[in-house]
Amino acid sequence: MKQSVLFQFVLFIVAGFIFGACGHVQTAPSADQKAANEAILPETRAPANETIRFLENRVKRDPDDFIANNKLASEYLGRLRETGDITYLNLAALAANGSLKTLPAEQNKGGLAVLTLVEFSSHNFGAARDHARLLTELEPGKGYPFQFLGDALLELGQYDEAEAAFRQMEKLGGISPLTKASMEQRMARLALLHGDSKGAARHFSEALKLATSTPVPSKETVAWCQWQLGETAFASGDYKAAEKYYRESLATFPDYFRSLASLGRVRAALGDQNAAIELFEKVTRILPDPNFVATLGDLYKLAGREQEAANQYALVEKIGGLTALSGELYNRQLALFYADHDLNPDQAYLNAAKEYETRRDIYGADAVAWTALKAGKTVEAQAAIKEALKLGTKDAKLYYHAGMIENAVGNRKEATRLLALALKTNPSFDPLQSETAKKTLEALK
Amino acid sequence: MFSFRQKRFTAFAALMAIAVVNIMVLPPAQVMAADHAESTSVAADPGADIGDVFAFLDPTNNSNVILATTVEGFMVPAEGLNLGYFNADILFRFEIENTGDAIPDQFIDVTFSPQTSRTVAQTAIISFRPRPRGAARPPRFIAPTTLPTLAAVSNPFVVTTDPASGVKFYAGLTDDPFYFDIPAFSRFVASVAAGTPDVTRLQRSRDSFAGYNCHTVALSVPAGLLRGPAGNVIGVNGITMRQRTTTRLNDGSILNEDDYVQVDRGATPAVNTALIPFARKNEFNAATPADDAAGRFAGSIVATLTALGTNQANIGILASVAVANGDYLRLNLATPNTSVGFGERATTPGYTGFPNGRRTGDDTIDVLLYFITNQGLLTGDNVNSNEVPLVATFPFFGRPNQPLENPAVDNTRN
Repeated sequence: MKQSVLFQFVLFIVAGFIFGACGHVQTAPSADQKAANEAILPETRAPANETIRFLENRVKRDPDDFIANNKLASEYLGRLRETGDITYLNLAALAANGSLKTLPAEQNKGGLAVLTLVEFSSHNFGAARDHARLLTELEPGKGYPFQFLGDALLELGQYDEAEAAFRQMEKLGGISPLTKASMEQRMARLALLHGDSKGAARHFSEALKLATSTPVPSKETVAWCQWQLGETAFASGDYKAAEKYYRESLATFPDYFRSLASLGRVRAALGDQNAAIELFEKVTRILPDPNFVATLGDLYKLAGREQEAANQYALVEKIGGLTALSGELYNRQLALFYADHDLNPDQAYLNAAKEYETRRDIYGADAVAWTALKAGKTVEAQAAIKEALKLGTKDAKLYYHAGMIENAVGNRKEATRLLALALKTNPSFDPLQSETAKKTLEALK
Repeated sequence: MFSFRQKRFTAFAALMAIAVVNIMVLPPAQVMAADHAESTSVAADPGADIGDVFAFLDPTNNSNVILATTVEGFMVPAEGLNLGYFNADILFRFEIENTGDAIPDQFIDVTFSPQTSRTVAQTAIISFRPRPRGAARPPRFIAPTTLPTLAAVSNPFVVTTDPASGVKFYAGLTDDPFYFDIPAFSRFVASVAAGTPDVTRLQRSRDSFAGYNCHTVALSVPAGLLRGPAGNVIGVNGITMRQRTTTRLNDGSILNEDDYVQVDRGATPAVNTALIPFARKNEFNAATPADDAAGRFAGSIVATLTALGTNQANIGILASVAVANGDYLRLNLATPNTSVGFGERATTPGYTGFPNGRRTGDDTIDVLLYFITNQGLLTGDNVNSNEVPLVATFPFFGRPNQPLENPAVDNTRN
């Protein structure tokens, strides 16, 4: 048992995995531009630590210093984003709630804003949506509450409302380049959901340009945009371009956990299993995210290292059950992990279905579909996967799940079409599952 | 990237039962989570967000007028390098009214070159228009900013004097000169709203602004360049502006085009934050003193003060500042001034500060409290001076706080 990793997890729980992305890649910033940016990119962490210490001292001396609490929550959320360390999420929640205890939301919009972000990060999307709506009432002329609202609505599967909120955000705050960058990211996300991978790449490229051209760009934000471009390329099977973006992201923000994992995945897709294992071993040491741990297990399995694979799989389950918050955060991931590995089928389905009652996004529908299939509920699986595909999202994993469901109900023609489409879209979308897709498709022929 | 949104909480905001604590602090980026996209977040335009505007006679030479505006308040000293630059997209403007109406007559614009390195000062362009009365030509000159540092001692203030006009300029970090206990005020307000005013709520004596820095743009202008046909009383309004369109060129540079639009404005402390209802705050930010004078916000302001129990006589005093001839800081150039107001009260003999203009040391909160409580509350909020001394020469601000904090020092008290 990887006790050390497990212990690490208590301190460094995860985050991050973005749904499938697809599309072509736009040109990266020029070398001159990158060099210029690096000359003024801030060293995010050291000043952040100093800032946090300053604010913590203020709150220690005066627990009613709600301004310091608001800023502190903001800093903690920034550190969470950089590190994935869930400790910061808990601290941010304490600071946000402490602020609102001093002054209620109606008099403390900053406190309400950070609480909304804490709720969003904690996967409490319903509360985030409701508080974002309250913010739009308290700040009727500002764009940012609509950004919060749109983000929450998107996660809840209310896509049209989310897009309307983003448009309102643009209308109210569109004059600032920073708002424009933020807007581009959200337009990219919507484009991906609607299957417009070229449009998504274009929006992410623009977001990257905007991010690098701000007076003092954040390294993490620049790295995030580069990583997203990589994800978009990977989703369309353009592994060379994806690797280029991941490496640029890592050059911008060394050991950036998102890009380390994605680089491992693309190395696996390119057949370099040893490098992939090394990268996933490294990233799970930094951040034992259940997805990363599960993928490492899959890579061990493919390499014939069965015991090591089993250890990783066991670890995934432990992580998911560590705390109530981690259960909330990783509920969907765990359900999919179980389904991917034919474990606890009934429990996986129940968990996915329960979450889908309140969070009705297309990937929630996909989780219901995939777990339903593994639980033998093919009727439910068919209904759910139809919902998952309703936006026309070009995601190999969705096609794969749909193909496997059609295969299970004996619809060979449709199963063949969907599995072929999955492998055409992204031939190595997942180290283990893409192999299953290939074998199933072969058997169908 | 983006940092946080901080709208300065000016003056007696917390006195208002209906007021909002308008300090927005948002994260530099929206947080990630386990299975959803976590796009970065931006909500703010802190570099254009006006904290306070000052206008007073140079206490060492009353023939000069000090004009200053602060932006990006609540900056933690350790953020000094990351945030210690002026945004090149923003136009800082002082509007001077000197004909006795609500229409600005003189404009002083300040823009900054882009930051190219943390060790190279930005260059500001200072330009007056139209040509001031008595000047051969409108002053126009360039001046460097003062570089921030994380060292134990801040860099000396770099002051540039235009030899042709005698105008002096400073731009850089300073200590935030505002002082005010926001939570205490909030609780006092709650007690007022409940019908049981409780001044003991104001006894915490903690300064919500102590220890923080801000960006300051300051000018020392010969009074003759500002005085107009109305005589010795001038009005000062600070605004920030952005161009409407930003285009990214193929080489990665940015081209700003189209008209400038107003992002924020500031003159009399607390008018927008405290007296304007939620739904109209942005409308007020985008409006002009001429709109104020036309009575566009008069009803809202009077309603707020009435709700606080302020009587007609004192409403008249306060509303006249923000309504009668528009929201300008009104400064009488003929009223001698010998200090920056540090530690003074409105009842101090010889007091010449706010609401006659505003000096960097003026206790604006206590002055406003005095009028709002129908001249009944003499003790104010018990935060009676800035936490660091104000320098005795231009720009008359306190030196920026440096990040080497002494843990033994309680920086929430002055």
